[in-house]
Amino acid sequence: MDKETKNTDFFKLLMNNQKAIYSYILSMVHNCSDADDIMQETMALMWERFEQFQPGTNFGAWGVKIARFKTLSYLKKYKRSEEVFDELLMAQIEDCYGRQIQQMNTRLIALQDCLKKLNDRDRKLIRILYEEGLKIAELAKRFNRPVEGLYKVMARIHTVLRRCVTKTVLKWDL
Amino acid sequence: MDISQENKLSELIMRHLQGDNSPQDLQQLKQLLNDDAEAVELYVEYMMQFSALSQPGKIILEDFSEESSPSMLDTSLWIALSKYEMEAPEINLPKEQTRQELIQKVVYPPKEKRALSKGGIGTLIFSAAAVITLILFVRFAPPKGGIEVAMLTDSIDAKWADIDPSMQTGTRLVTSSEKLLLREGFAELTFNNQAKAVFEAPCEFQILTDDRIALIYGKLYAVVPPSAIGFSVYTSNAKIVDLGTEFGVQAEAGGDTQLYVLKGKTSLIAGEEAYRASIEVTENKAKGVSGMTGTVSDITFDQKLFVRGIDSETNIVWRGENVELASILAGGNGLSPVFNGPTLNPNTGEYEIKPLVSQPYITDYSYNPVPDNVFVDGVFVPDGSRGPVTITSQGHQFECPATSGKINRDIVVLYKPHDRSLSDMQPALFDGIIYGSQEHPCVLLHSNIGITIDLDRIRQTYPGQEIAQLRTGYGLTWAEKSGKADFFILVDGVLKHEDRDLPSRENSQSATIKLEPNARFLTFVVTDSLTSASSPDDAYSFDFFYLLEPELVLQ
Repeated sequence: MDKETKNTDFFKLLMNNQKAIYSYILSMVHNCSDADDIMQETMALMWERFEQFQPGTNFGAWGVKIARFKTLSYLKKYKRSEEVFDELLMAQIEDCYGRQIQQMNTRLIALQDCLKKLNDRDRKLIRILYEEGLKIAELAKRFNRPVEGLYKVMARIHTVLRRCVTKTVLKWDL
Repeated sequence: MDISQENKLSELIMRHLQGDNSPQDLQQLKQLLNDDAEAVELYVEYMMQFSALSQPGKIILEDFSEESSPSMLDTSLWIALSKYEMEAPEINLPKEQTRQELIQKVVYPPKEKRALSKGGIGTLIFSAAAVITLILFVRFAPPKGGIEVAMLTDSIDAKWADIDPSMQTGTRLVTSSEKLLLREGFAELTFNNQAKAVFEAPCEFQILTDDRIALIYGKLYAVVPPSAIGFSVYTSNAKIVDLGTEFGVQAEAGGDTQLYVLKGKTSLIAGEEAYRASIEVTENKAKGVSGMTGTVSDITFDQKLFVRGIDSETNIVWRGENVELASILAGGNGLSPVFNGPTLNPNTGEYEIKPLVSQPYITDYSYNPVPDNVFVDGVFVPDGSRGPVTITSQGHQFECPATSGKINRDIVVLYKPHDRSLSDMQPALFDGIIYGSQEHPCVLLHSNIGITIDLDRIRQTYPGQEIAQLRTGYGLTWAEKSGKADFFILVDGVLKHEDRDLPSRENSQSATIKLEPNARFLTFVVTDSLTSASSPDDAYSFDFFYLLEPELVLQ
């Protein structure tokens, strides 16, 4: 494969699957800053091994396998056992990603749609949390709201969104 | 998994991702996932959702650019939230007709039956009001042209591209997908929330909402009062959210972004895709975001890079400089030098063009206003032997030493060396520097002389800024023979600095006077040290007293 073709193919596939691979890493380490570091290493290793990837197969699932390797190294090095999921659970999560990963882009489009269906207040809260980049505890402290209540509200909004996305994707599949 | 279990799972995941969970919470999460395969599926879906929302690309959240941006200080939002926390009503989603009946009808568990409380009535009224407002909004929604959110409050030499020629001070501006291109000059916009943005050409920008601007390229400086916290500037690769501050943003056509925070702090959100982070940038710090790589780095802070204020009445384009008193006393605006300006006669308060030579005056010792300079309250010839000397237009008085009462020179401002062949003035030579240049301006106050500056009038020209200090060098330069003078600085008639029997010296002295926000009159008095002279003529001769680079420090 000539270099230019390799570059183009790799980046095209990466752009389509990067969010999914990142979300897998995050599901394991639960911390955006650590996930960022691992993602960087994962992408470097994916690039290095790209010639081993079989065109036409599931690039995202392949990326998740490489990410798993990097994630486990990281967890062994930096995390105590009580902070991480056990191996069986990790394998289940990885398996689930393998099945769901190809749906991620569709879910993204559905998510966009579902955000519009939120009521104004819920949408504002989502924006404040994600766009302003503030933690829930910070928000609660700054505006003198009970943290517990804010978590409950945010959890409810995310549940509504997830359900809406799943319903929407199912409808499109019909 | 029913809705309440899923809410619980969602909450545990949120806490875990926020780093806000206890060991028990983590244990509970693990238990849920280990016990229920469906929970693992949901967990993966939540993680995908969280990644999509928290990573940039901004496709999802920016879709709401036409809506008004949420303000974190929107009290109605928080009031509604608190009511919701207490009394969440049932929500029934319509049953979807699907072949795979995997999704159950979503019904929140019924709340305990209880009498409708005042809070409940309040919620009902609030909800009804919200619905009515929504109906009215939809019915009377502003036309497609956008919502009025700002006004052009000032401009200097502004030339706009592709805009209605009637764009002038007072024009109301709307949110729009169209970009505004400022080709020349400067423009100041004030938003409905009182945030101000000053643009310097060439500059292209777009007003997104009442508190969001997209800066395509160019420079803008934002002054954001507490009522407008959350005001944001977007560039091609970064977002700056104000947290109560003044800041400047420069977006280059090549994609680089620079942020300079002059007061308070901001949140800078930048970086490529998975690496995007929110960084707090505080006062006197600057960050650059690379257009190529998206990396964020520290850059050299430059306080004078941005135009921070404009005033078309006085033609001031202010970049944070201090006010040069030499410019003020020469009839300028405090920022620009004045070359070959007229001199100021302390006997009459008039500016005159005349040779810089000694010319004895007969004076009546009155306090003289200076009608041709709005920043100067008045000038006078001090002589304490006649009683307390009036030194302001409000009647403040100074127990001045007795003087010879003689005066033979005007107040002279030098921004370039004077022609010594046409003058008998002695140069201001101190510390090896010849003062009287653009770099080192000076003001001659040959005894016996007094001048009072109106600080209030200066504040009006630099709105929003405090005059924090007076800073000046001074000295008596050596002439044919050594002079001797007394020097006084007063604020609202109160003595703040004095230097008695100041001799001619090679080295300059300095004075720094703190100025209160309500200080109005700043007075300089130079007298001839009569008591230490052999005669009145001897007292006032050769008293070439200079103020050296006098300035008012703004903050």
